[in-house]
Amino acid sequence: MSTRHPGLLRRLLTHRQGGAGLLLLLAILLLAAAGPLLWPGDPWEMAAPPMLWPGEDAANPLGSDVMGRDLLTGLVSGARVSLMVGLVSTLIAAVLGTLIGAVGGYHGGRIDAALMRLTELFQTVPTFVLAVVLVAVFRPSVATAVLAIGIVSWPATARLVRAQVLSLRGRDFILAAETYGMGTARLLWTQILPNALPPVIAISSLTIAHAIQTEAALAFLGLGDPNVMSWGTIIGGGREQLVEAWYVCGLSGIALVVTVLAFNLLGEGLNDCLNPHLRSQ
Amino acid sequence: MNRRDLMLAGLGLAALPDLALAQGHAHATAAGTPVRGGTARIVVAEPPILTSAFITTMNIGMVSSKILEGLVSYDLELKPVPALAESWDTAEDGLSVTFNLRRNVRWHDGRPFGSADVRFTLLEVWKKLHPFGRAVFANVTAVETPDDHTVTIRLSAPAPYLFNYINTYGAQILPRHVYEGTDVLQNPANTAPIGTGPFRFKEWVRGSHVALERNADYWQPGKPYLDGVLFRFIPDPVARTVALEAGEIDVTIGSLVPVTSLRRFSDAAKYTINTDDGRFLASIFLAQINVRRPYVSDRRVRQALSHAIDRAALVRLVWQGYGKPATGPIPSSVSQYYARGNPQGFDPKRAEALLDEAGFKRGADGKRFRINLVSGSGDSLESNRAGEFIKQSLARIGVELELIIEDSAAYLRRVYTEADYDIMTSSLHKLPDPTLGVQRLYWTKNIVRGAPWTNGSGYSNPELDRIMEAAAAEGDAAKRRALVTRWQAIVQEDAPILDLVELTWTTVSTARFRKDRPQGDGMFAGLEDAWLALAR
Amino acid sequence: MAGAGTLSAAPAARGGLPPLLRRLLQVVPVLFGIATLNFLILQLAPGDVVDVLAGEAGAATPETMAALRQSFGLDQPVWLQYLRYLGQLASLDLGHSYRLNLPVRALILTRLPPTLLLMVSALLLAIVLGSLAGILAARQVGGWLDTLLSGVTLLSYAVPTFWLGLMAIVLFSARLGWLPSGGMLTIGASHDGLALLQDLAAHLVLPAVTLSTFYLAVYARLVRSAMLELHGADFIRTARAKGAGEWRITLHHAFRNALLPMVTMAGYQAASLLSGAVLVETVFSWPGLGRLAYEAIRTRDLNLLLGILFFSSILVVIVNIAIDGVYRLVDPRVAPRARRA
Repeated sequence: MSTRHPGLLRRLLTHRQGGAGLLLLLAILLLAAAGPLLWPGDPWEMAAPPMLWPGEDAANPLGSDVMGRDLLTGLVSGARVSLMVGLVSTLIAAVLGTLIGAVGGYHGGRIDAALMRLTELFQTVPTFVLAVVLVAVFRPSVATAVLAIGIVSWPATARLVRAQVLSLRGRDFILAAETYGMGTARLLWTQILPNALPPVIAISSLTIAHAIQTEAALAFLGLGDPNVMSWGTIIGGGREQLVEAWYVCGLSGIALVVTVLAFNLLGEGLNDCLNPHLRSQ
Repeated sequence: MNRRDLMLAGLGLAALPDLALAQGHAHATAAGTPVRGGTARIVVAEPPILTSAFITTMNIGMVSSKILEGLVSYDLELKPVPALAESWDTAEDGLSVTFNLRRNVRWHDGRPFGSADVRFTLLEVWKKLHPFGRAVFANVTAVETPDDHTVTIRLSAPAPYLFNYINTYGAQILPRHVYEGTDVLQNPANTAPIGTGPFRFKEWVRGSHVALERNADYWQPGKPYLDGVLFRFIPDPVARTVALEAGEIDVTIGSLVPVTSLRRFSDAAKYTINTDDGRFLASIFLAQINVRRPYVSDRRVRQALSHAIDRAALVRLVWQGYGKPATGPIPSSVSQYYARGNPQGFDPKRAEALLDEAGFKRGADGKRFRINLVSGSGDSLESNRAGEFIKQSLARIGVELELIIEDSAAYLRRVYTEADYDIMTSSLHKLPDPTLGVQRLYWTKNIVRGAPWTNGSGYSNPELDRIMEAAAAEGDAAKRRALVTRWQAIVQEDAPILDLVELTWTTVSTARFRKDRPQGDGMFAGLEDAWLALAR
Repeated sequence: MAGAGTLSAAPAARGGLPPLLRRLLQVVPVLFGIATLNFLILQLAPGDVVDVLAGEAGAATPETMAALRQSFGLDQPVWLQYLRYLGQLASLDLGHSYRLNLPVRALILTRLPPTLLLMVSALLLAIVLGSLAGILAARQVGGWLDTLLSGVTLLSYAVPTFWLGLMAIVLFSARLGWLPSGGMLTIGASHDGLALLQDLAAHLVLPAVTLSTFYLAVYARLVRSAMLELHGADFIRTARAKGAGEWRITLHHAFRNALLPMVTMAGYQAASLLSGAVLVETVFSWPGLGRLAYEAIRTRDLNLLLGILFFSSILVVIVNIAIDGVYRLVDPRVAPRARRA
């Protein structure tokens, strides 16, 4: 959502967003990292009375689910899962997208045309449905979820990198490097990619946010890893008790919203700070 | 649908209920005079077809039973009650059984029902195509029809279990004039059935509902009371529950209200929770162990696993008390064969001792070894949660469990074709007679690679084989019971299968919905005796 | 669920052929690609149709299973199966759902109208309310409405639709009892005419609003920035100089220009809207394609799932072509490829 011709006020606001996102994210990371120390224990342990409401018992401050599992421990575990899935799948998407975009943009011609067709294909297929199919077919697990999300998330990055590479290609320093006989791979690696990277970082923050949402949606549909407690798992499991114990779905959803919000804010901030020139195009 | 049906297939299937809860008002034997009229709105999972004669999928049975009938139905003690058969008689030597059929019964298309229909369905459908019918009627050598209302079955050996599987779910009677000479499995009547039952098929809108209308010519005069039955498909459990509360539907059968929501229907003035409708299925949630694998090939390890699982806690936490800890392969509802107590019950200390004795000591990290537990994706939420429960239980004795949820095809292939698993969970119907529902799980001859719901543990014990085969052909009730008792002791000791929870199937209805006659196979009731009280 | 899409660059333009023909030609490799993808997934999947069938039947012997595999052609070489698969798809035969015992195409077609109804309602809602919010916000930059809008926008990007739907059920159905919690019609109630429409509308409100939230925010921002941009443009100033009222200017000039990016956006969002529908329909038991997909997931009905994937991809392609047409209608001066640049 890059707006053109931003006013000064708007720009400031955007920076404020980036800052807010960063702080929020730091807090979440801290919780995810320190959680196991503060609230040790297995999130699957069925130790509490079932369906305890938040605040009802100090031992389980956020209550328990229908199986008597502590919700706070579950949420902290879910934070680690969500962050991990978001980061790794985005890494996959970023690598795939950068590779495809850079190769296509640099080579042009048929290779570019073929790669753009592929990109178009992945933008035509409803990506969530494709992710669902992949995970359902290859058995739900953290690994399949990460791979599936990575596989459906790269096209935006690829297009962005391609556009960057196209605009860089004609620049003097690239032409100079070519004249010196620098090989394609080396040229891409040392000259083009470093310059094309900033927008990739910005978009990756948004991709992480989306990946976290997708993982939760998969788990909600029953396509989560049965050995791993993620926020989507908690929402999906709490759905049957939606009316009696809505806090189970409610709290894990709020955790999800806050985390996604943090990455979105950060992404916008990064976008503004890392490629101000995009805004003046 | 989902795993639930899948299993069903296997007889398997799942569910839940119980006894432990004080749902004293269990059966809807309501006081009051039946009222004519009204349409009962019932929620079921959408079935793939509407004929049960050759398939065991439960939700098919729940719908088709209103349209098509069997020779008998079952009461709460699982004793046969006349339906299309008015009476029956077994010869002294047990080698022939005669059914006297009801007269003046007509198919919904007006043709008369008679002995030729029974003979045709038995020989051409049940015996050839029905997954269990093949076993039930295996000893049948001939079917004689001396007249239109008499059927005599000749047997090569006594088949006492036969009387336990001739209701509309186990042996549904099809109209010969519609099916003879056709490909039974592809007959169009399978999706628009013509039966003798209290309701006629009216329409099926896929994804939405099946509508049935009153059969005015039904053989019980004055019945059915209802003008029709509307089966609605509401796949989402929350939506079903809300719809029942809102009075948009009258009944949910087959445990479609999640156990965790049942408490919302505990007000007996407004709702009825029936926990007896599934007695006939005698379903047990169990963990089957692949005895061909390392670690679990050792009987002591299997016993340790059995000792590690607190079945009472499992029932309480996962099934919310709707169910009962299982002691052995036969549930308590099949009272004449039920074995009280299990020597391999909950005892974590004993479990640890057994594992130490077997040489699998705890490592530095406190773990002994790692195995997996496979379940199917279509299973109930309870089945998934039970997996989580078992994982926690085994962790306490140092056994690490990896949970694997496979889709139906991959699950069946992994268990029955590739035997690539350590433990699998499933909910299997044990049926009222062990020869029908239990033997298949232990019998050496039933280790059939690639065939689902056979002996998938790979357990083989020649002595047990002999006992099971003797029990099948034993006509004397007392002798048969003695054989089954020995059989249970052996499988408890060897533990190739850990029977965990006797499942209770719940039927939840609004108090308006009444049914006069309690049935052990109430999930497959014809509902000719059901009526809707006037709204107050 | 379309967060990442918001930054994606528009497809690059290449030109030459007449636009419509060019679009249609572009579709062919895309469909071919999807078909190939589908086939790959089918081949790599563990277990096959025969395993499922055997499970359904309750029992099967290895012999009957082998015979079944033969009858489905599963014993043939992979390339032959691939060709057969392409041939089937070319004749729009999406295969058979062995779970529901019906052809996949028939299943999909009967579930399509509810999905279209839901998607179109959500899109209209997003466009109308989003435009309104955007216009109002732009009239007073930094005002309370503008601030509220940016807050809501941020949130709506972050809130997963399925969770929003669940919470809406808790509040509006369970607690307040204002709206039905799911379904499309009160089955069994034989309404007709106005009563039927009312019934449908009551069931439609929650899912449509839930699905539209994200897009509503997108359109609001789009319209807001288009407005701001145009407020300073020459022709607006001219209009203002001629004494046209603020609302008149807004509606006649600025809004008309904002329409173009909105139409473009609608095209890009067809795919994500379909993805969103899967979740929303699941939450609200809306009997459309999305719920069919959920049922297919639960029963692992692979044929059906792949059929839905293929079909919904076609749907996206069709919507995109239609958008091209609409685009020309809205602004005949602009060649379709220009907007894509």
